[in-house]
Amino acid sequence: MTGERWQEVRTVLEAALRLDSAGQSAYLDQVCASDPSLRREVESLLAADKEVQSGFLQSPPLAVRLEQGTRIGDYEIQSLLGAGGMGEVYRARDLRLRREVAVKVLPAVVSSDPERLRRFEQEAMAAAALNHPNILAVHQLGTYAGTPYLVSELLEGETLREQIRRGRIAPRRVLDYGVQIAHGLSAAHEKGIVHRDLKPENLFVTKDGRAKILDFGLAKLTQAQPGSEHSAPTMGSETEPGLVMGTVGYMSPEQVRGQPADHRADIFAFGAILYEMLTGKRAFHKPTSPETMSAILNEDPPEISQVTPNLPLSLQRVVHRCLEKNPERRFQSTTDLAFALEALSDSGAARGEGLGSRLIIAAHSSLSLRARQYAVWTAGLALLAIGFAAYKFWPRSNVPNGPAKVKQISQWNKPIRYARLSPDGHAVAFVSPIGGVEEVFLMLTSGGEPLQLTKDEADKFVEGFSSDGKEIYYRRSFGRDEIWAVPTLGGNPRRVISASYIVPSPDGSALYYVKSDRSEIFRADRSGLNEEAVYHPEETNLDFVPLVVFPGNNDLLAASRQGSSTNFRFHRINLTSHKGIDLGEVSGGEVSWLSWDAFDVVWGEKGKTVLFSRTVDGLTNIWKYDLRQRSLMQVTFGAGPDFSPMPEPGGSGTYFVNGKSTGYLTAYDVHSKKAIDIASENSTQPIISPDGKRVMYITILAHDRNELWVSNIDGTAKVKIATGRALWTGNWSADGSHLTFCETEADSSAKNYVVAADGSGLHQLPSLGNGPMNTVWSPDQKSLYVSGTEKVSSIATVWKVGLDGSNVEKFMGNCGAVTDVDPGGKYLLAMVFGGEKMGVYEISLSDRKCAFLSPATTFGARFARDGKSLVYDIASRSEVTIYRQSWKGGRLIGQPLVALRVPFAYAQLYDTNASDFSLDLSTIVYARPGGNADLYLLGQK
Amino acid sequence: MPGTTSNQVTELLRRWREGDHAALDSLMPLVYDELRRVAHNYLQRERFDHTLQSTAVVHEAYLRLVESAVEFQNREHFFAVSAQLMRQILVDYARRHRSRKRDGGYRLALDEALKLPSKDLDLVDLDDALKELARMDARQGRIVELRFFGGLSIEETADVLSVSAATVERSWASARTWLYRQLKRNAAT
Repeated sequence: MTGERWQEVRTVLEAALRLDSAGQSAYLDQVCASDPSLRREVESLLAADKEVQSGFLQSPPLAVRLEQGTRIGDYEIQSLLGAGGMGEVYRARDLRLRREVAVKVLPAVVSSDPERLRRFEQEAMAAAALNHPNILAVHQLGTYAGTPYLVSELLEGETLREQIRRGRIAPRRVLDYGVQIAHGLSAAHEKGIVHRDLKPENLFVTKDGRAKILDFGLAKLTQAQPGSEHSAPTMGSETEPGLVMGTVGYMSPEQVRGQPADHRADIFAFGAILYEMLTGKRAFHKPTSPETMSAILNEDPPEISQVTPNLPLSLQRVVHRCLEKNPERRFQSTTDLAFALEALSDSGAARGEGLGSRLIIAAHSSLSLRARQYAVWTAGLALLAIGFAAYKFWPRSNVPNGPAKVKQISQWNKPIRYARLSPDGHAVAFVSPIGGVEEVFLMLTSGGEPLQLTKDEADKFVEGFSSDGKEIYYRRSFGRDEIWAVPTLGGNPRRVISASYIVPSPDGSALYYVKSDRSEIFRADRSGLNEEAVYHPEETNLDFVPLVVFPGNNDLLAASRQGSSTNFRFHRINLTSHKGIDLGEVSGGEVSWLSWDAFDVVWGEKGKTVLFSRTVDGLTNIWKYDLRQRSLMQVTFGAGPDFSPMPEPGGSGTYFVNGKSTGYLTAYDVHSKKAIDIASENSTQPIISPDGKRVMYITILAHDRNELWVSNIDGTAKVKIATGRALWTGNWSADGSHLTFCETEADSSAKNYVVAADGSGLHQLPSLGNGPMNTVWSPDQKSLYVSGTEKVSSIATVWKVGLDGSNVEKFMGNCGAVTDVDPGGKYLLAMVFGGEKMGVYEISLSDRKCAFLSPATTFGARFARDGKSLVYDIASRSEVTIYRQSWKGGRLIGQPLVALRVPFAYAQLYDTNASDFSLDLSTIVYARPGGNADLYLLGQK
Repeated sequence: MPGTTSNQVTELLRRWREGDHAALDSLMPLVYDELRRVAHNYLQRERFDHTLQSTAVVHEAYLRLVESAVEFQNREHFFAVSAQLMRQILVDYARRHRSRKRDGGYRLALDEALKLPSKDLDLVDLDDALKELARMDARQGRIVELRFFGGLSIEETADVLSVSAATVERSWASARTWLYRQLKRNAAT
């Protein structure tokens, strides 16, 4: 037969082989109508095909198989499951444990080098020891007659390769598998175990949809010299003539080059696999291996959208980010990658929706909260920040006018706060709430979906980029203020220093910052070491904050403010002489988180002018201050709010954020898992009544105009109790008939009030310390324990005062703010909310002794109604857990037990006290931040 | 192995990589002896017959042969060479074995290693049929060589040949069918 003829024959034959016999006949009728000899030939081969035994040519002639019944240790071989160049896999019976297992016989090359075998065992067993649902469970490694074998769980299903061979995989399933695989990889990577040969053949999907990573350690086994971390695909002089080295097509550029490869090589391979799942095509596939390798080094795979249209852009971005040539530009950890995929997975991205929809859905369906019996206030900068950082109400929100000058950059439509521009002007970091907790995001100024960089339980505030642009500094507020840094392109955050308001020097050598309990401005080197004070304010009642460094690196621009005054002053602080020069005051504005706490001051013209946002007559706009002329000038004039000005380094204009912010108060029913919005305005500080049926809360109309409301837990029967400047919820009387609350002035002085739950009978208590103040009703309901600070940043003092304002006495000092009294009437619970002494304390009423109970990082410890335990909530990554700790007669008994796991996160300390739970743990009320904002570019005239 | 031979092997491999297919032919005799030596060593091991892995002999022989002087471009090259070696050595062995049986001759060391998957399969006949197939379709010939002699899976074969797995699978199916018929016809004659 000639080659040409055979091509004709085999084309028809291969088509016919895929049909049933009736179909074959019809098909041959059609294609062989004019060529009877072709039909005869094909029919002859089809007849032969029926005779071909399944084993014909299927096993290599030299492949000596383990025969059925062969015993290897405790395992009895049953049948061959599969074979390839890298080993053969058998189904076997574990005679001892009476279970089915898989036995993989490894290539003999493995056994030729004891050192490699040892390392393989080490890695494979380490991975196996992870006991992770997405990693193949390895039961045993052994050697039988000189050949190593590996016993693992027996999986029913197929490899990803087999699935892909049938065509591309639906995005929803890709995300499902992707998240699972990322979790498995993440678990391994955390233990320092890198796969190095991920490919669809090594990923298995069981019949019930569980994805499993196979063959951990194998790649390493077949790869480099002992001690070398190289994952070289070539067998150059530096590597042993090992056998197989990563699969071309999934190999990372660094592996192709024979350079050291770490876990990010797995991320690359994973990206290539995601790509292939989504498109059905290999990301890098050329006719020859060298060409494929060249493509890996030099070419980007075709955009996914070109191959598979209608996929969410955000998903495509995740894949392409995995496939970055430079490992530094990929996801830096599989954990981050898993988060990104999960976010997409939850977001409905798989259904073709954008990433954004998830937050809204989650917010409406889930929610909750926690109870805080007191207003938390340590009056340090840290909590000031939180207090004023609370979503403030903007009465109007318009996109700035002037279409010729203003260009919308992002399509985020969710809150953006603390926006900061990278030194190169290519990226903006900001925070936005996820599940109620402010997380750090990065967006490119060229547009596109922002990327979430952090995920934990603490609210965060972006401080700025490192001077080289590689890291983003942010303040992490959870009990205490710490500065952390996260790699700009993603990765594990690192703690830098306990501080607030950090300003890196332009040359990257130093960090300037303040500390929540000190009035000085400090400097440390970039590692956070060698701290020294660079400025001692003469007036210690002023709060100083470093803003920007003057050109020349020898002077620092700082701002000072007294208390929560609306006015602030600029100061030029010489870093050598440690002297400050007053550069004038900015007054007449309205304090909001935009003008103080975000403190979005940036250089306009370096050394001469600064830009920042300022609120006047309820309108937040961008203003400019000339440090030499000491003059103030308005830059934007829209209804705003416009804030976070960020001049583009190339001079093309100034980026800024426009958008409004709001907040909801939501009740989550633990049993029905349903959530109801109690209030849709900016509302927070919920305190649930003792019977669990009512809730009091504060609605923030403006920073200096708050309202106290009481409503049923489902939001019905709302009653406005009071209107005031800054209000703080207090506590319910035991019978729920009365409540207390607090009002603070700009200088933090506080007034406490008692009022009936219907708003009648309001009366003021004598002035005590600084607020906000907590109150606890005495067991006999005739007096109140009131706690507040006597001076800024100190631990609270407790006073006792009669309900009618009589008999004021200082009851306890230095033991924290009171939060509850035990039902037996003998002990007060008190808490220190930050700093070194943070934790839960107990005050004995009889002898006025303060005792430390627990260092739990909670903000709401209380007594259960039976008087035999404490309950408190603790937030951790993406969930909140409520614990119950047995307590008797002033002592803790045993360990805390989990009373309730809330399946989502909410901020416990958002705008001071943002959640409460009912004592029977049936309802959680929490503040849920919302709003919408986007990034714009204001062009130069 | 003497250094000169090792260098020779390296040079031949280099030429082969660069597209000189004749180089591989020159390579075979150099490899063959070493391969047999390794296989023989395997046979000395206890209970070898239960554990010998398909490509193990070839791989190990090959690795020993080329030492660290050889730079494989990648695993595809390695498998491709292995499969070709395997075919050559096994068929050669089978051919000689067949003639010696006729002589009532003696057993070669490799004899024990050869557990043919089917008693009906004559490797010499298969080799002939395979040559015929390769003449009609070179890629199909290589697919069979890699799958059968090299012990590679569909995907590994696809990797080596830089074609899709679906192509390999289709080609493999029709090649198998054709080879089966061809062997059956030869057996009948």
